[in-house]
Amino acid sequence: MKLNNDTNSPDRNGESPAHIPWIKPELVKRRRKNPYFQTSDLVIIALFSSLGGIFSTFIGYLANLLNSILGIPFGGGQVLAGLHIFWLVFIFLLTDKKVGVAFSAGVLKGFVEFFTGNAHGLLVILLSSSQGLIIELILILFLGTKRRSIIAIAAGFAGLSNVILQQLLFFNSQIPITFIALIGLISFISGITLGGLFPLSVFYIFNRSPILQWRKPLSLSPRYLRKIQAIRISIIVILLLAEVSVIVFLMSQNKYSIEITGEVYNPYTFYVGDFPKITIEAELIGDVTYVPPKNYTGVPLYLAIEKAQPRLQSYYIQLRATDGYSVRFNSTEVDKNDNIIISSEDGRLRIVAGHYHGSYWIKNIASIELTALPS
Amino acid sequence: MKDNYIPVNSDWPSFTTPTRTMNPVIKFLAITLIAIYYFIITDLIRMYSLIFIVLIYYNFKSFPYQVSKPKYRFLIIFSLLIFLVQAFANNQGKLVFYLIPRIIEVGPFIPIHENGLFLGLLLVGRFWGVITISWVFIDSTNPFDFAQSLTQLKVPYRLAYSLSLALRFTPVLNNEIMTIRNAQQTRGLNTNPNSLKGTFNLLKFTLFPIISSTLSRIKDITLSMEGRAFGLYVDRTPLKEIPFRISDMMLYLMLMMVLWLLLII
Repeated sequence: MKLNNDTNSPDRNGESPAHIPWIKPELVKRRRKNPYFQTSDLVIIALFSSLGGIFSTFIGYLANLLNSILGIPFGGGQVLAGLHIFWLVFIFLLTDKKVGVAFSAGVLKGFVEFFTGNAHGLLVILLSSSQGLIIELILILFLGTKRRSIIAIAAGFAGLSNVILQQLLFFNSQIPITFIALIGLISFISGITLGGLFPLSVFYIFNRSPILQWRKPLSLSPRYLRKIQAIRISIIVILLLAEVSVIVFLMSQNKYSIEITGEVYNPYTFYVGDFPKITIEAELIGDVTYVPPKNYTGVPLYLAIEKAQPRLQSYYIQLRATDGYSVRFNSTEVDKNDNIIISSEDGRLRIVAGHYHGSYWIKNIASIELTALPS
Repeated sequence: MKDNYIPVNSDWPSFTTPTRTMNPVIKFLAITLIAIYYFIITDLIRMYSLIFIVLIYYNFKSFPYQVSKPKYRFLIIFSLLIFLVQAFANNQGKLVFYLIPRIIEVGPFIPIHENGLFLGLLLVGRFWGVITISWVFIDSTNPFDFAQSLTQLKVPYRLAYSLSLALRFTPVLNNEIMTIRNAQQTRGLNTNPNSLKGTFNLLKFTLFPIISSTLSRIKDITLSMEGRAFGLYVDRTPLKEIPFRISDMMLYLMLMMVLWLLLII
């Protein structure tokens, strides 16, 4: 059964409502022309997103159990990350691989999980939408190839996005990169198998059964294909622009910068390459860490401060790291002191503070702020 | 909060609160703003004060939702995990203590530095901040009103209706899963979600029947909707109007200003 959505079809009495004289024109609603998503598409997206939201609870239980059994705090559950992707890919296949379906399903699944009280709160919408978006982007680029491998790889990347986002939001510290890479790899493989190949198999089983026969196969119109081609080209252009922007940004950052602000006449961005460097010998003595005396090369801190032209005679120099850690020097300690230098090491800037406790050797400096002494 | 529970209209208490009367979309924007604020601030006192206020507000009156014990357990374990990872991994700042002290010539091990503790508390605060503000939203918002409110904002009603549809069918599908699970259990299959095998069985033996039944349901719903000419017109007359009040907008702008002031002061 298929409803006739033809806008020119007459009503039962042979007249279009717009032509009935006693109906006020403002009461005659505008009729929709062939909608992009058919009603069946919308219902498929809605119900399977709902099902995906329900199953996420069980997957969460299973992941927690796996972590407990393996005796690790997190990571074990990533084996099942692909099961979250399963529904997005399955919906995509059921709706004849329409563009926009995976992302819509991701958003909707996120909202269902959010409203049913997912333990990640608002963030689950972000996580689920990102998964849908990644599947969407990869599949738009390769739509038409009909390769199972492309769908599986898209699902793999969607699985990986979960780890990357959670890492950015909650574990953005100094966890060993190898550990993160391992968890990422597990998620990727899980995405490929459970999120990509598994829904493909399930879809082929159901596609052969009579249960899906009521839906008419979608015939792609030339106009639709042209639209897809335009979207594909746009995405490629955006990706290229993004890549160029990242390269330009990284090239501009290769001099390692620090913002110097506060009680200064000349706030500016400090670059290591703009100043003369000196080499000092220093020994790191921390509560735990000890590094025997060795040579460090860098810019004396007082030179960086002098260029900013402090407003005050005496002041505090607050150095803040990217992770929020900060230390404070008095201006009298820093003035003409060659033992405190800003050194570039492993692509990051750090303070080498000779004759100071190890806690003053701050890593990954982001900013320097000059503040007034308490009166 | 009961798992996969969507309150029907009769579940909503008769009392009103400022969060309940607020327009759902504006409320959603407001909680998004607060969530972003949690990710920007680094002042622990302000962060935890705000979380505390939100928690007090959340527990002030009985809402239709109640956070279940397993969910609380998960939240506490996840918070602990975030805290420990930061505390162990970050070695900037002064040494505060050793987790394993020196015992008879052995140790000490696992030093905890002040910056590790700070970062641990900061990220746990972010997590709880987002969770608690989400609780307030879902406790005070009828999801169907949210979908309707989206339509009034010119989001195509066909898309907004999908959200209503998905939420409407969540308890139905959940019941269906339970029915399938009970049927499997009567056949002697272990589907207890508290055991690994049970949960695995639940996923494995429930998936195909539930997909099959959902596909049948999709067919019925689609034919029913098309029979009622769903989507024929560009506009749709709502059963209930969700007002966009000036007071809501003012409240939102005030919130923006307060958060901005909290950031710069």
